[in-house]
Amino acid sequence: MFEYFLKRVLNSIPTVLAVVIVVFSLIHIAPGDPVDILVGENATPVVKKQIEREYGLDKPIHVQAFLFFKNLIVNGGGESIYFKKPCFKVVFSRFKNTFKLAMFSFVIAVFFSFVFAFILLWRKGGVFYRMIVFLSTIGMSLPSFWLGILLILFFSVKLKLLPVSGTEGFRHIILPSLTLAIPMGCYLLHIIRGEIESQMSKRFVLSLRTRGIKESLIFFRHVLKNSLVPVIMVLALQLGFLLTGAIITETIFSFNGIGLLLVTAINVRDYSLVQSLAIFIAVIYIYSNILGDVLIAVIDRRVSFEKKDI
Amino acid sequence: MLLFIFVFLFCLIGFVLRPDYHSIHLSERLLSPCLKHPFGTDYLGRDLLSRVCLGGLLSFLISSVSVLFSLFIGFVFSFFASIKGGVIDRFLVAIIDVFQSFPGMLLAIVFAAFFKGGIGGVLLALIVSNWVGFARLSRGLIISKLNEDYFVYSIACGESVFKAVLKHIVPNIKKPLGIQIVLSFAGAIVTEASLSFLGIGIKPPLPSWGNIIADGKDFILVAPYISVIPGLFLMVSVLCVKNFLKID
Repeated sequence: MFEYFLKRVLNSIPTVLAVVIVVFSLIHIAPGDPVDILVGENATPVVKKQIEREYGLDKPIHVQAFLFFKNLIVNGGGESIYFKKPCFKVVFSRFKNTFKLAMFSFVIAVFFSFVFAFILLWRKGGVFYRMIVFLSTIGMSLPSFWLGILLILFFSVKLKLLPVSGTEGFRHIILPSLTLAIPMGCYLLHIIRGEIESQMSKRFVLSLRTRGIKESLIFFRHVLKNSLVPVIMVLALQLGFLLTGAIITETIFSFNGIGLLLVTAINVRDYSLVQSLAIFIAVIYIYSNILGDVLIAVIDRRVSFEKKDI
Repeated sequence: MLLFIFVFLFCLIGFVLRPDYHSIHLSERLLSPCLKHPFGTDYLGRDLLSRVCLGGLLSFLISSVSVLFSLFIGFVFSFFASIKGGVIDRFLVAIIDVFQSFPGMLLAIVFAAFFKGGIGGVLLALIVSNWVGFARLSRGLIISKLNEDYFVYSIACGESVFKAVLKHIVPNIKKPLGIQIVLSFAGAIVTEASLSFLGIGIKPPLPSWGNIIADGKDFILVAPYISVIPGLFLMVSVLCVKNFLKID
């Protein structure tokens, strides 16, 4: 098990390096002079010269790449022009909020999707069943920025229950996390339902039944365990998505996390902050996927022995 | 399917009948839906019906063009990788891995931001975030078919690999690729709207469902319909596109 974990982590190192290279090269692929992109076209020549020296933009490209790496590790991603602090410091201070939001919506989505999945299994067929399935299909395709606005309209404008925007207290986290949790929960519900139903129709369930084992025992000990594997795979992907993909939701609710930070950084053209954020988010995404894979390996021993294949 | 065609035709006809999406009438600001303006007007008094329609057309256009390009790039890439194998293949897999380690939305946002938005920027962002899916899928599919008897036979008969793949493998992998096309198209519509919502997509005065919703967000207390209507269109089209899959 540990070996598998180690292998995955070691394998991810070149990927992380490549991610850094992609982000580094963005500023050179983008139209316009890199210096202009970093400080804006209206900066004084002195500032431009200083930036040019700091980032080594006057040097050949491989030296620049090396400096970019050094900057990331030693200087915390270089100084953010807007916040006047090392980029990673800004990112970390905001990440707390995003983490809270992600965890909160994660718990809501997982809890309700499992509850509804059980209800659906219990009440298979019928109007109620079809209604839930239909609603969850709609819920899956709700674009988050629109859902957010609808929630604001309903809970803040009509009912005046919850605040529209901000980060301070518990009340501020409810609407954004609902916005994230609803589409995710609906998606999860689909996966869980499909998975459990396909497991239920397998031969081993029949054989357990013929041996007279209690239905509840079959369900909880055998079916549920088997169907957890794909569910966790999706969960890991979704967790990465939550930690990163809250960009739009945070913007709607002015929730002070890294998503809003990214949008702010783009709007004030603080490109070194954008780069640091892109790297940070990609790294989180990579490792949350690895975490999911390892978790699956813990549950399903077969995985860690299989060769990883694309 | 029918509903999607209906949405598309609605946008087309709506725009043809009301091509005036940008003229500003300050005396008619923030009108609720009425006979003259069925969807109401926005904060500059522009007619929302024609803006929503043009936004929809642009969205469909951009999404379909981006999906076509991503399909083409992904397919060509994986085509050579899977046929040549060896170093080229490993190189491709490495590139796919790197691109997949970014969440698609982040990739699109960062690219659109660096390329300063606009229609070109959105297209590029969508292609960059979409092509990986196609490359990965078609590589897997082509490789899985390379050992099939019919393929080996056609090579043995002296057909060139290039031709054999196009003639015998492509028809066999059409279906999964089609599913991917539909899913990417739905995804592209949402991503385009999201980029425009964040202000790094389609630039005003050109409308997009995303930027109409973003504009409406500031007037949510007085004129909620500004955001609600384009959102409804967005949701319905995504839902319909995804429902294509259920048909076959």
